Formats: sequence, structure tokens, C-alpha cells
Amino acid sequence: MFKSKNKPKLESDVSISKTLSKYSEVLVFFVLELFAFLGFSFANSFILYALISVILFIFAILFSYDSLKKEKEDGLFFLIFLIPFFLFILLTVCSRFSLNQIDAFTNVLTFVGLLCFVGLGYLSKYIEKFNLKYVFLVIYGALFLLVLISFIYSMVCYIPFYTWIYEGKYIYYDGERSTIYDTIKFLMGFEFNDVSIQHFQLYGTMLFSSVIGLKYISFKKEKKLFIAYLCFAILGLVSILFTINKVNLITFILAIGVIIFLIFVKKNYLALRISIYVILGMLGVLFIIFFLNAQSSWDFVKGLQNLISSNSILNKLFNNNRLSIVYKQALDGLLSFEKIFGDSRNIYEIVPTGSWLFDTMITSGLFGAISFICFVVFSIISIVRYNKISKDSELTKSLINSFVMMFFVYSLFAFDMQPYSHYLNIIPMVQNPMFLIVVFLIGYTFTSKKKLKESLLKQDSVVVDAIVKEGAKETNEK
Amino acid sequence: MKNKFIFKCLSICLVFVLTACGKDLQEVFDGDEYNDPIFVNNYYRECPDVFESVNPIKETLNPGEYVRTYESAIENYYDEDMSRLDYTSSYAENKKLSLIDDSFKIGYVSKLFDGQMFCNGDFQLSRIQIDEGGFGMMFAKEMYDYDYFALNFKAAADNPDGSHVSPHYSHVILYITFYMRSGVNYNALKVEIDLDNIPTNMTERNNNDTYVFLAFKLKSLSQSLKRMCGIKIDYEFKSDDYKDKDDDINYALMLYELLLPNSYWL
Repeated sequence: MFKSKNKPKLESDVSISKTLSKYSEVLVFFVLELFAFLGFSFANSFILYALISVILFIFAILFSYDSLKKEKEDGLFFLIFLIPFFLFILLTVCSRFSLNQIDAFTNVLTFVGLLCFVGLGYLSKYIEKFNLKYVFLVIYGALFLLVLISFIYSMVCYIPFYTWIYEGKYIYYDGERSTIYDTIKFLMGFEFNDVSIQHFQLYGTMLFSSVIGLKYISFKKEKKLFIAYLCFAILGLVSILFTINKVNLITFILAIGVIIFLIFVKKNYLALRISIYVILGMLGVLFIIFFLNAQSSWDFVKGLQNLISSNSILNKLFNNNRLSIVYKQALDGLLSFEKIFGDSRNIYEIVPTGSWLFDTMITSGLFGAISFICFVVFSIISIVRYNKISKDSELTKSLINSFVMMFFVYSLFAFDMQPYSHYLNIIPMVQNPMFLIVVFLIGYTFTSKKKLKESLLKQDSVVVDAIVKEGAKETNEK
Repeated sequence: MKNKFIFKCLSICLVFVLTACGKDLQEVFDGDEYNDPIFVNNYYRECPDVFESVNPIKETLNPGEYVRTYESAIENYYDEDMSRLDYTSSYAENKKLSLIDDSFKIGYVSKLFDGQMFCNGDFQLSRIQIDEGGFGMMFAKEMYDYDYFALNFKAAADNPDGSHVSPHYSHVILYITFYMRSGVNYNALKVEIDLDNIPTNMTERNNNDTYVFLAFKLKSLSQSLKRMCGIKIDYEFKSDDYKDKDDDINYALMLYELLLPNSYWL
């Protein structure tokens, strides 16, 4: 009747996590395998990634069952944190765009797969022997191979800086005239495909994000690791520089900016917070003006539209440049039934914007995009908290910051959801392997406010204890 | 140390520079080649120099050894039941050379291998226009097995002032030369076909009246086409009601699709 606290444990009481813990290396191996596939962008096979993530997620629950039971409250906070993400993927798979363009099976897998990815990220910190340092090594190693093979073959087919040299020139491919400056060869599975430069450079830029690791790896102590990261960074940089064009030059400068930002603002959280608020504020104001300027059927904003078009600088900024033209198309009539739940038009009529912010409006609708923005903001806050209290090495922390930030910054201006140069095939951001890695990292870095407070209190108490001990020592000495 | 590092970085860059062959940049256009409103500016005359040094064996095909309508080609060579020749026909889509090998997708002449058998309103963008000198090309691979040859084309004529000549029929002798690799040299077989009643300046009606669908069995030719790696198509103009009266009229063959169905390339 009464439970004894000192009751010896029977064999049946030994939890499944403990039984499985000796096999945790196997699970970690398969997680690394998944990241090798993702880093190598294995034929952009989203279905494969999603299926593997579902299986690994189930096993991860079993392996971390004990820890989950102990950290029930944290798990609950994580589920609350996931609400905007849940809404985002729900609205994405149910959007008129997805229902029109993507088959039901892939839609279901997108929903389940993304949840499993973020869940796997969260659970992996409870799995024994899981170390993100090796995950990054696998990701960058696979990315290195992918970029190296694609880059060498592209150089065989083209020449360095062909994107500048052959601007405005054409070749014929499969009977159609095709521009040279925005096309490159890219390994997809077992064959090379012609893809857009933006798509290739996404991988080059993500590879280049490894450069931050060099700051935290000691050349004397970890020579091999240092050289590996140096090779990753150099290849990333060379692949970007050799294939840069006018469009990607801005993105490249931004990528460099991200790295400089992370190096110099690393320890200054106040500066980080202020910078984020300023950037978000500026983007918010710009977005509202863009939105109002894009509405062709709203008469009451005609005054603003006339004001913008009458000023040469504003006109250039809001109406007359490569980016604003496509952004306007995405925003025009966004509140109409045809667009509010995802763009319902034919695939031939949809013009990808090259930005995750506007592309999500096409693929997920207005509410989906809002949910995603909320998720991104919460994720940034969570990553900042993680940076404050995590016991992970500085290398791991900096690589997470660099990878996540680089993805969102690059993709804000140069994400191509229609990567194939000669075929009309839309691959939305939610199916992009780099996005899946980012989602995993966001899950991994989740840190609740409560945990942050507890951890800071612990840190404070440790400091107080140390001071008290020192004080006591001094008194004794006296 | 610093110099050593810079040297290593530059060496890596040099490796990438050295791999650069510009394989896909052999044929680059400014954008408007062969797509000019002036008829005579659209003649495609490219031909590998090596073809000039090869002396081909000549063979003439007589009526009965070739067919010139789509229906008879289907009946004789193609075993699927295709009732009608139209834009939606899956015939060329299923038999196009670009489907057999990706190397046929590269270059200006890929317009002949893309499965588009008719003008769909793109005019010069969808066809290759040749004069009597014709054009030639080398393939990236060699043909090792083959079934039959098919060429979908029609003729066009323009007055020197740019106005169109009324629809009529013309008469040409068509030459199709196949080049086979033999060691470091080439053997060639020149097939000659006398074709009259070629629709010239006919209104597009998506049917057989406005095109010639020339097809013949390759295995019945006097020479083996094994290791075929190049082709040249030219013609000799014979007669035409309009051009016979006015020699200044510009005449051309408009080639839309070249098929080598069931062929095998290595």
C-alpha cells in the first residue's frame, strides 16, 4: 500500500532510456548520417530527409524518455514555443499554393517531417554522447564535398568569373535560349543539373559561415580541425567569388557583414539586442510602405503611391529595381481571397521573389508568413538565451549563430525556390535541406525564460558562494 | 608563415582556374542571332571544317525507299496508334534525341532535338533556317545502334523587299550526309532524295499538308552508320513557280525536328 522510497529497483523498473543508453552511439551515428544527407543536399530529396527524421525522432523520444520526464516543464515551454511554427507549417501545407502545386503525400510529410526535425533538435541535447561539434563537422564536410564537386564541374563547363564576363550573352539549351550569367552546374543526387547561381551560392555561403570557427579553434592544439575549417571557409569564399554576379554581390557583402557582426558583438548582448530591434524596426517600416505601395486596387493609398513614383530615389527604391518589382507582385492583393491563404495561381504565373519573407507569403499565405516571422523572432530570442547559459563550447555556439543567421540573411535576398534553370519546378523553403538544418538547430538551442533565470541565479549563487568563501578565508586569516 | 599561407590559398585558386575549360561556352550568342525580321539574316550556316576534307559515298533513295508523310512513317516505322499529327502529339516527345541523351540538349542545333515538330508562334526561335549550303554538326557521342531517320521540315520564300511570297510548292534535291568515325579519320555517306511538292509558305495548320515528314530506314542503306558522329543537311534548289520567274526571291528550308528514334549512343 505504501510506497517505500528505499525500495530496491526491480529489473522491470529500469527505464527504457537507460536500457537503450548503451546504444546511443548508434542513434548519434544515424543522426550524423541524416546531416550528411542534408549537407550533401542529396538530390533535394525532401521525402528521404523527412522519413529519416520521423524514424530518428521516434527513437530520440525513447532514448531521452527519462530526461523528458524530469524536464516536463521545459518540454511544455518548448511546445508553447512551437505554436507559431506549428501554425506556419499547418498553414503552409493547407495553403492554396501547396494544395495546387504539391502532392498530398509530400504535404503530409512536410508537416510531420518539419515537426520531427525541430523535435529531434530539442531531444538531441538529452541524448548521451551527442555533440554538436561533430554534427557541424559532418554538415560542413558534406557541404564541402557538394560545393567542391559542383564547383569543379562548373569550372570545366565555364570559366572563372563567367557570371561577369558573359553577362548579357546566351547559349541554347534543349532548344531554348538561356542566359549564362545566372546558371551553374550543381550536383543533385547522381547527376549534374543546371541551377540558378543563387541556389548554388546558398550552399557556398553556408559553407563560408564556418569561417567563424577559426576564431575559436586553436591552431596549436587542434591543428587538423583548424585546417579542416580553414578549407571549408576558403572553398566557400572561392566558390562565391568565382561565380559572383551583380545580384549576389550585395548578398556576399551581407554575408561578410554577418561574420563581422558575430565576431565583434559576440559578448555584447545589449548591442546585439539593440541591433536586432533597430533592424526589425527598419524592416517593419519598409515592409508597411512596400505593402501599401504594392496595392494596385486600393484607391486610398494612391496619394502615397504618387508621392513615391514622383521622387526619383523613392521610385528607384520602391518601384524600379529588380527586387521591388517581384516583391510588389507578391504583395499586390495579398488580402484578397486568391492570395491570403497562399497564391492560388498557376505555377507559370507565380514569380518567386528570391526572399523567404515574401516567398512564404506566396507559399503559406499572409497568416503563415506572420506565424513564421513570429517563430523567427522567438528563435532569435531563444538563441540569445542559449548563448548566455549553455555549457556548449564557444565553437559550437558561434557555429550555430553563424549558420542560422547566415541562412536567414542570405535567404532574405537571394533564396531561389525555383532553382532549376531549364525546368519549372518549385521547391519551397520548407523543403530546402539548409532550412531543415536551421530548424534542427533552433530546436536544439531552445532555452526557456525560466531556465535562463534559474541558470543565471545558479551562476549568481556560485559567484556569491565564492565571494562568501573568500571573505571567510580573509576573516580566518585575520 | 603568412606568405606560405597566401601561397597555398593562391595554389588552390589556381587549381580551379586550371580546370576551367569553358566546355559550355563554345557557342555563345548575343541574343538576337538568327532571329531577324530580315529573311536572309537567319540562315544558319555553321559546319565543322573537318567535313570538307571527307569524300562521301553517294546513295540515292527512290520513292518507296522513304516516306514523306507522318501517317506513313507511323504506319511503317512506329508501332503505336497515332491518329493525328498535332501539337499535342506525343510522338516527337517520346522519340526526341534530347530524351535519348543529354548531350543533344546543348547548342543552337538543340532546336532540332527538342521534340517541337512545328512552329508554335516562336517563328525563328523554333526552327533552323538553311540555304543551299546547308549546315553541319558534330555530335558529342557516337551512334552505335539505330532504326530510322526522320526530319520534319517545310520551305519558305521571301521577296527581297521582305514581303511573303504566296503559298505554293517547290522542288529540291535534299542531301543528308552522315559522318562515321574511323580511327582518326571519317567515312561519310551522302543520301540524296529528290523531293517535289514541298509546302512553301503554307499557313500553319498543324497537319501534314504544311510539312514534309521525311523518314527512311537506316539499316537498309548501303553503308553501316555505326559510330556516326556528325551530320550535314543541305539541298539543291530545283524549281518553284515563283522563284523561277524572279531569281531574287530568297528561298530556305525550315527544319523543325530531326529524329533518330530507338538509336543508341556512346
